[in-house]
Amino acid sequence: MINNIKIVSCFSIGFLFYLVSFSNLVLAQGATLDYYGEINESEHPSGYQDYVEMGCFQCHGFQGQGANSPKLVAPVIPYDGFANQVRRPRNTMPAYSPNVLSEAKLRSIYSYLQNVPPSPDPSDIPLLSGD
Amino acid sequence: MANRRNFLKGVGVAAASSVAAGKVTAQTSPASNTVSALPPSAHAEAMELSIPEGYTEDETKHHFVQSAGSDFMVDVIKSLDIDYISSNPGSSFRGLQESISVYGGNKKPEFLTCLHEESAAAMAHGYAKIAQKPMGMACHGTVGLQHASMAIYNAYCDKAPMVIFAGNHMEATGRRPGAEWHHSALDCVKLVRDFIKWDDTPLSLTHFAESTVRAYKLAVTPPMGPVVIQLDGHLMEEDTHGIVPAIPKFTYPQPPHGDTGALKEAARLLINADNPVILAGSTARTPAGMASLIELAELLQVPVSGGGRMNFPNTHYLNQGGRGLIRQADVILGLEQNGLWDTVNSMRDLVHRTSVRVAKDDVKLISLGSNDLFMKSNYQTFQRFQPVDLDITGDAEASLPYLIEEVKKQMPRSMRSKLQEREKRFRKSYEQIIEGVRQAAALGWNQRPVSIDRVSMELWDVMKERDWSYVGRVPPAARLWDMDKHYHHIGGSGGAGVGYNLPASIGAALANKEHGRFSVSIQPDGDSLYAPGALWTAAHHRIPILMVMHNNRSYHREVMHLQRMATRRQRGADGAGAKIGNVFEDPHINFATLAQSFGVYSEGPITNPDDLGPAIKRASEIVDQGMPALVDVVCQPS
Repeated sequence: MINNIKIVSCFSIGFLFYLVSFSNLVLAQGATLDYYGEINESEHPSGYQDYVEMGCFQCHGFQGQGANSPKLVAPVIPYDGFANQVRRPRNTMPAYSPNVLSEAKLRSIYSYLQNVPPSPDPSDIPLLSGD
Repeated sequence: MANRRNFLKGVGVAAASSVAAGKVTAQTSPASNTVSALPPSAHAEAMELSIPEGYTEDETKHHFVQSAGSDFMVDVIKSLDIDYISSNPGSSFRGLQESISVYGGNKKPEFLTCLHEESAAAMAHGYAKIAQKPMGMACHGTVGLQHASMAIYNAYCDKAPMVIFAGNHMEATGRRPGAEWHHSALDCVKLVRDFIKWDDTPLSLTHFAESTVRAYKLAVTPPMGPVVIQLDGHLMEEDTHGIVPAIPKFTYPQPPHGDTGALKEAARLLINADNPVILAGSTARTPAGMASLIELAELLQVPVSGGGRMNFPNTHYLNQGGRGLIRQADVILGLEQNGLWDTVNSMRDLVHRTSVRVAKDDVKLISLGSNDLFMKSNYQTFQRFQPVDLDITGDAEASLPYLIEEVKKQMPRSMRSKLQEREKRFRKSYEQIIEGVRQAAALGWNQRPVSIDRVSMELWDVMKERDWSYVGRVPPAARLWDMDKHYHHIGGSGGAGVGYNLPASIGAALANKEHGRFSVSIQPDGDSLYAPGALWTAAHHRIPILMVMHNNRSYHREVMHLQRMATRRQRGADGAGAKIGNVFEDPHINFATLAQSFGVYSEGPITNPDDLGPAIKRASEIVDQGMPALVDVVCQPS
């Protein structure tokens, strides 16, 4: 967006190319990472859409259960620690700056994690109870 | 030279059969160091040697071949106890294909019809990891080897043996115009020579026999790997007139073990350590190797961090893992460990790729393995160099019994209380690990898309009562299953080349078939799309395997890579950047109908987790009847 302001003043072939590619980018950004589509149409807690659109599920699962990375729920860590990990992560997680993930969306995602429906106790699941 | 009709009975086949299963007892020397060709049936002999009615002897010589060179080649292959030749048919080895099918009776070896050379090679790769011996694979030396090259590379990285027969026409003036020239090369093996162990281009049948036996021997000598024999078209198709050379006797090579003095020192270091750790790497090819590893671990009460294949039971309390173990370790024993640097250090995939030392500065590192015995330079499979304190070159599995004996000799009685304390500690932490895994599996249990833990446990429900074998890559939720046999999983591709899992799992399932094992694989969707024709091969050859399609509708790793790039460049993580090129939508792929079109029983796509268990049960009944079955499940990424 910042680069866009600089280039708007240029009437050049390069600018035309930029306009074309930028308009594509705008259209593309309307897309969502939720390519599971119809499966996710059921009701979800507030913040779910932001959680999915930002692609958090790719590493942490749709319910924050963790897949190839740490689980985010049960328990959900305090917000300050959560936000710090997102903005300046330890280990290999990429940093999400406010330019790509606003404070409002970050809080929305946090809200979703706090409201993920509780999972059943493993002892109540026959396949996990070892019975 | 000997007339194959006057063969010496039996020696070669018996020799190869007795040793190929991994037995290491010395072979009894036969009276001769060669064996002859195998006998044809009386009917075949009569057909081959007779002059057809109405033909003169000269006309017969002009039109017919009495005894083809490729018949002898099949005899050589039979002498090596090669049960299968996986192949997509090709004219440059048509002579061999006909000899396998008719002269050899299509039995030991049996011709496996594959729909792509990459599938043929990957099937051989997976087969070897269960059968513990190579499969043969035949292809065009040019257009076939090019297709197969990716799967050969995976096998090379994974140290899996296979014997490849690549057709070529060396004598230029005898080539048919057109395609036969396109299918000929000065050196067709050059394409794959960087990632095979050995190759040769025999120009006579004697040369073929010696080089094929040599190739087989090199393929199964640790570190194992693929080998290639180039087949000359004319040599295959010319008439031997019944005069063929003897077949050299094959003797199974004894794997090299490490220096006993060095193993003695390794034992001393392990005994004196307070926090030793064993990294299992790719060691333990056989049940004996796994038993040795358990014995060593229990003797010293050392935690074992598993490697890329099944080598230590996950039901054992010493099966531990994680960086914490490495941080505390004062002695680390790396067995067949290709990435020791990566264990001692950690590199972060950030803008500036920094690495940090994980292990203590004064940790003693012991390396025991055969990697240094065979290494090539072009493809950088050897990972970053890690200095060690004790470097023992030798096959780890063959060396473990010597190390165990040294530990027993040197271990003082006074260690008993230290060992008891360690056992108590690791039993407790093991229980915590398992409970944590159960808790994590419950998260998202009933959610859509289906979680991979749910998939794993629904599978386990049909596996646990059977003699099962997981023939896919490392199971995504391995801790949820009781894995204690060497065939409970076969590990990954080795080279991370996509397209491995589907054909390799079918090849491994074929090897399991004779043991009556129930083969299971969770198939990555993107991987399966490289050569889905392997499904037809499974159906056609009646290979029983239960496949669950992990349909996450994407190349998931690539999505994450693109997310990383986009966030690093502050271009957003919610746009199409991560999707373009990586996601299977518009339209979604229906793997159930795909499998059905190849004659494979299928169900799905399943989106409701409650539908999964019944579908898997129905599919498992098909597998019990000796056929493949596939359940397509729309899953969360793992």
